[in-house]
Amino acid sequence: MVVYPENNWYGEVTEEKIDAILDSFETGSGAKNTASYNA
Amino acid sequence: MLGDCRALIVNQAGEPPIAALYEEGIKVIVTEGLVEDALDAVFSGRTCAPVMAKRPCDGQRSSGDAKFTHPRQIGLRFTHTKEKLMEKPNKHIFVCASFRMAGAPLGACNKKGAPSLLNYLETEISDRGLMALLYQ
Repeated sequence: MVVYPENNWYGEVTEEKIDAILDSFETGSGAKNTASYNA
Repeated sequence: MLGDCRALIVNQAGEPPIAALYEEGIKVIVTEGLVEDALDAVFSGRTCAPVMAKRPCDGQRSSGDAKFTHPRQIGLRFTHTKEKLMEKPNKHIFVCASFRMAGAPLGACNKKGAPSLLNYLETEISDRGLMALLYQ
């Protein structure tokens, strides 16, 4: 899963990671702690 | 079916359906160019190419006897000129759900349950009311 414009790539995505990623959208953080890596 | 649409891009539409859709909050964009061009213009906020003269089905330019009626003449309103119709998304989320037929080795995303995750993602975005955030 890739999120632009942040260019954050997420591998092995699970429902829990989706929750964390969406949480980061709401809080404005980058969800870097959800096994993401930048391309 | 169109309940979650904010706009429709069409080549032609009559005034009654345009008005009915407008009342439902769906803008109708009338374009005689390619839909892809109109989409590009909508998302980039550009102005669409001007309306081209109608041509007969054989692709030849008409000799002039076929009158082209400008949509404004029949009460249609071009909503795609300078007005920014669709908000530009604040974020783009891409999810791989690739698959191959007959057990080919590629297309692992589908095998790993990407469709159900995509469904979960869409549901969560909707439940959390994040559409407004994504289109901020």
